[in-house]
Amino acid sequence: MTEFFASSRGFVVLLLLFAIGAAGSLLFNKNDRQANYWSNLFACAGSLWGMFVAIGALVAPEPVAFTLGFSPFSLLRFSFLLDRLAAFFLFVISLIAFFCSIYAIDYVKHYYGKYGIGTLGFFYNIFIAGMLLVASAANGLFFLVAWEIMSVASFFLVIHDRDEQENIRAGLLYLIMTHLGTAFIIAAFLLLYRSTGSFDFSAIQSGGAAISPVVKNAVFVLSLIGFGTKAGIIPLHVWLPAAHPAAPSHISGLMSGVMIKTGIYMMIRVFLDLLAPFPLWWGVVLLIAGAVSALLGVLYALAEHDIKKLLAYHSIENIGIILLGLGSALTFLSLQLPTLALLGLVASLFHTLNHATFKSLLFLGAGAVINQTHTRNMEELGGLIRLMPQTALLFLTGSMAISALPPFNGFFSEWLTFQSLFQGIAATDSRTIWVFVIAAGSLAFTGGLALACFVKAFGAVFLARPRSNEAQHAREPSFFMLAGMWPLAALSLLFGIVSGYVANILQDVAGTLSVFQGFPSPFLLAETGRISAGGFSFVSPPVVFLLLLIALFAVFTAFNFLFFKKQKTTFGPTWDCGADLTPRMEITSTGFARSIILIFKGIMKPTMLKSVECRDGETRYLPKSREIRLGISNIYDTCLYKPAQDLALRFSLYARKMQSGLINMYILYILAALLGALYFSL
Amino acid sequence: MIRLLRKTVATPSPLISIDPSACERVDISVVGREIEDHVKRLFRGSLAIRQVDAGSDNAAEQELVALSNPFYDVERFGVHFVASPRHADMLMATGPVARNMAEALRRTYAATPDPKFVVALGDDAIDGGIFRGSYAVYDAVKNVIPVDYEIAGDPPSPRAILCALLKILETIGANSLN
Amino acid sequence: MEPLLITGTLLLAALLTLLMKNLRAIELISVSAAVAVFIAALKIALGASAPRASNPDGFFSIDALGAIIALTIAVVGLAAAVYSVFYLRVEMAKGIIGFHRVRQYFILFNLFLLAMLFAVMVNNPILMWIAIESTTLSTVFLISFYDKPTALEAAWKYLIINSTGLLLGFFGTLLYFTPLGEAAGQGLTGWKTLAAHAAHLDPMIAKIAFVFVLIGYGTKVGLAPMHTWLPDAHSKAPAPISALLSGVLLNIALYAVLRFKLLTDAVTGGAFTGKLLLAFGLFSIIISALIMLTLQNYKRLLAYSSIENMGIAALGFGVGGAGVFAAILHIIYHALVKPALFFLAGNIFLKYSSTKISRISGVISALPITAVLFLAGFLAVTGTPPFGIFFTKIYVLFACMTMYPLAGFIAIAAFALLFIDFLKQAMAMIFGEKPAEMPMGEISPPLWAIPLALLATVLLLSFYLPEFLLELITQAVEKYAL
Repeated sequence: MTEFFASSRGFVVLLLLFAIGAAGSLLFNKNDRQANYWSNLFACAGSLWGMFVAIGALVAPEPVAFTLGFSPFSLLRFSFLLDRLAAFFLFVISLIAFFCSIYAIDYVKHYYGKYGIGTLGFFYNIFIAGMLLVASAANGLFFLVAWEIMSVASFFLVIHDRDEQENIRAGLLYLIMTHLGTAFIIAAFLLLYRSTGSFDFSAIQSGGAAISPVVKNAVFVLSLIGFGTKAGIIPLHVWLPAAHPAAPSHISGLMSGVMIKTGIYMMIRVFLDLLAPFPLWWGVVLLIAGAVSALLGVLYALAEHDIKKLLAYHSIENIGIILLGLGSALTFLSLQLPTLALLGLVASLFHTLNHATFKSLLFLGAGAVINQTHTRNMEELGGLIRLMPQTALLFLTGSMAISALPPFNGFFSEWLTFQSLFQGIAATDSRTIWVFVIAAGSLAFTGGLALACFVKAFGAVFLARPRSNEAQHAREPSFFMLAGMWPLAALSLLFGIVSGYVANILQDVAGTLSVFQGFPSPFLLAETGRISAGGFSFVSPPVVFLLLLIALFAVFTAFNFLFFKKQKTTFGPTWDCGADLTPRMEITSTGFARSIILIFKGIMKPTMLKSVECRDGETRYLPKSREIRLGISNIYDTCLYKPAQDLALRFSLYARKMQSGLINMYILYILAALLGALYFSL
Repeated sequence: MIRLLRKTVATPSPLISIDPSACERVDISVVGREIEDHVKRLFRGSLAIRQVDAGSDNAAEQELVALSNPFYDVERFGVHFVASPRHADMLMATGPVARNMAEALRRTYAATPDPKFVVALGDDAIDGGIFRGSYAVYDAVKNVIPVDYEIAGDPPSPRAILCALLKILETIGANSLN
Repeated sequence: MEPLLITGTLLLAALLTLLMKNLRAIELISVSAAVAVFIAALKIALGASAPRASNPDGFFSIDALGAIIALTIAVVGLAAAVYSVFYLRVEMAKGIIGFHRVRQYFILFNLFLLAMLFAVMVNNPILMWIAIESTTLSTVFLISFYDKPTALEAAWKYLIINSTGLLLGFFGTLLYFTPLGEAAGQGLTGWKTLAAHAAHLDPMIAKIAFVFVLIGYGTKVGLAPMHTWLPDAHSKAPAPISALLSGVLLNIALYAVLRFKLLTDAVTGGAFTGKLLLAFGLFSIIISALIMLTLQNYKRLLAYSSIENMGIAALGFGVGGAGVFAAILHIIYHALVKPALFFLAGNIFLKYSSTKISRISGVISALPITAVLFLAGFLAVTGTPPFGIFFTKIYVLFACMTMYPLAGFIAIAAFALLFIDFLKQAMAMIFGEKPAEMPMGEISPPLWAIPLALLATVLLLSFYLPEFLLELITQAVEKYAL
């Protein structure tokens, strides 16, 4: 049975499901309800099928490769390669897409009558199919097609809520950035083509020895920029915090959960699979990029009060953590330490899986909140734990997972990442030890700040009292939205508890890459579900889970039977000094984050806007209200993108002077061109 | 509630009567030391009092404030006036309980953790004093919340309050022995 | 046979239109002439694609590339004819033009088509030159159709610059006749005769001749820096005329350059002409990428995009090899996409009565189908998959990369910039709030159905090329790739 799924026919069925979903929802464009059910049910079915395909390819003894159709272009072949790495990413994409689609059935209902659901469903199906194609393409040109389809489809999804001018701007920024990234990728593939004479990955791989080091390095830099733009490495991340809030929440969940991971996938594919062996500095660059992205990402998240932007910045942070694993893998490989490299790669793959689950959960939870309260501003939320207890619990689960608290899955992948970094400190010499020290330090720091950030986010959104009228009238989301979120929360816990087995599977996945061939190194053992990092240290998730349960139980009983033995607990209202409690008494998320931001003001360049409104305009003795706005100046815009834009504009105006409107000048141009060409030819 | 009722029944007259002239003669430091002893024993060295102004004419407040001045300085005996009923062992309610303040008094009482003692301070708080019968007052603190002890006087002098406090503490000590 | 038929039909149509007094009859004549031309062109293409079709050196002689271009002319001509009918009806209803203007329009339209097709089909450089010159003449009055001062200025510039350019081209053409000697006097000198004698051409003269031809016909192609007439003319002409100008007229001039390139290559080798084409192509791409960033007029935007696409084609022909294949396909795709975009721009113009980008917003509310198609057309013309221009661009780039990597990198950067320019402008127009008093909905179905059909054709051709087309392209590549 698995052979059928992981075959060309199985894959065609997969694509057909999405194609039918896309075409059908366009047909039903007139009827929102039909379009909704049609598109999302087919997306569900497709994702489910995709999971089977992925599992089929994972258990297949050999990579599944096939070619579909033909094209008028000789270099373009619709060839697919489902090796275990691709299958793993297919699985992650399908898994998240499945739950997001379930969630979407109820979520998109609030767009009824406002925007066409048909187009949403159309691009949604195309988008998922595009991601699946990206992960399975085995031809550079075909990959580029899939990549662009994915990007353009997601662009249309981002601007779906098109009445908001801000969303249009976000979409514009997103497409510009992603297109610039694609330009770099195209350049990289063209260089590879120039050296190997083919766009086929297999040909590039086998011709890898012929590529000169200079070209290799150029390809590395180009594709790091290209894929890094999609993944959201700082400073290429600017589109991410803009596009994620603009998109509908299930799209944000997919974009943040899996789409940015396609950048990681391609980095693994190109660096590890196609270009190996490589020089040492590649890994070091990746480690630095990871450390910077992780730390800055979480800092920016802390300063954010838009809940979806906050989550978007956390995606940047987690991409940084994934890159730390990947970077250490590359470094170890070039230092001839393949077993350690395997550890690093497993860590990054595991974190990819984990981040996909909890980040999509968080986005879906945030979507449920926004759907009820119609605001993304955390300063206007609050107290929702009483109104939406299930959502609060789900969001808490996601928060704990992303903050790397055991027994949730985030802890174990970060633990693995730490292990590989510590191994780097222990096993390498002075050439690279500094970067591992920096990376480990930044990862530790990141973990702490992430926790602070989610204390802030959860507290501001769910605890205390509602800060706006809308937040007071929130209700628990409807069935399908919850049905999409609960399994993700369960998976976050499950992947934590059985992380030993998951790590073992991932070791198999990573081990099939050609660079690891010939190293029989069962490095990570999963006896009784224990993850062990080569005798250096180990952690046993089920034991951790049990210990936590026991500790929780022990603390509870100790307090009940030792300290509170004689005391009786009574519940009364909060003492309010006679005044009624108002939301204005609560700490704001800005206030919560302020102290941490001010510590890092050297990096973050916060801007503070204070304004006082007085009752008495002339003397200004009696203030009526005070307002403090804490903002983070966008140094990437002011230092990188704005100057580039200005430069382009200057050149443009310069070039436009050519079109002066004077016909004499025009004739002169012709003459000049003639003389120039004649001079050149003689 | 039943416990409180039983308590009020068990103490038929909460009024702490003291001989003013006898009180005039005593040395504050002696009274204070005795108070300190009791506070140490009963309250582990610190008696926290929350004063509630339930529509008082501020006479009683003046005297209570005087307790904290350098002359009397009750803090040295372990008696503190605190800012929140959540921290208080004892409530001192003054005034005839104006209608607007009744709810505040009730809430303060509810917010004070058990075990707690309520002292009505001054004649207004005991029976309304000169305001008795007015449409605007409830006449007495005990009409609004259960009162454990009463300190008479219009207003009682700081010295009288100290003496009465000593007596209250003695009573509490005696009750707790029972 | 078919060339004669085409010539006859179009001449007849122009004459009949001149005599007719009935609007519907004029429309019917023009559309049916366009249909007939389309069928004839299709037959020509099918005939030329027959394996190793004989290519007689007669009055008319059509090679594979010529057949492709003739077919695109016929297709776009048909689309433009149908679109013109509905477009002019709306303009008449608005009272902008009257019956006489419509009649004049269709006469010139048919003559314009005739001149273009004649230029492709005729087997003599001089006659081809005359035909191309007459395309200029027939379109001048179409560009100044609205009789506005700016339109007149645009038409005047168009006439002057093109005539100057073509004069240089004529000089270049004559230089190619130098080695003929005795043979020059004997009847009509066909391309084959020229090619046979090309080897005797003095290399120096060949180079000079090609430079003159390139600059001369390059003016008509719209290669920078000779492109200056193009934005003005395209933005002032009625939408269907802009579509024809941009979609096919530029190709014809490029085709002329290519034919002379073959003659020159016989003497100098491909490197010389290739480098020149490459340089002008790259320059065109860079200039249009830069200028498009700050444009304020959407028809000019499309015009600059045409300059860019001609630049890509020139680049492709310049680098040779796979680049030629890509360039030919690029011409085909562009010939279909660009008219579609001009038609859609025409719809927007009909609705908003302005060509300023700043005055247009909320097209997606006012003209939903047009807006969606415009976005699709934008994606197609900027080379976004799954549209074929993506592949042709990549092919040109990789052909470029293997020979001149630096030019390849510059082109990639320019393409990225171009995409950003176009996206920025398109988004500003399509989204946002539509003017409050603007009525919702499309004007009439044919106005969006035609561009839709063109875009659908492009999408189809991106993944499936019909047998005869593939054969034609293969033949053309064999002939023009050195």
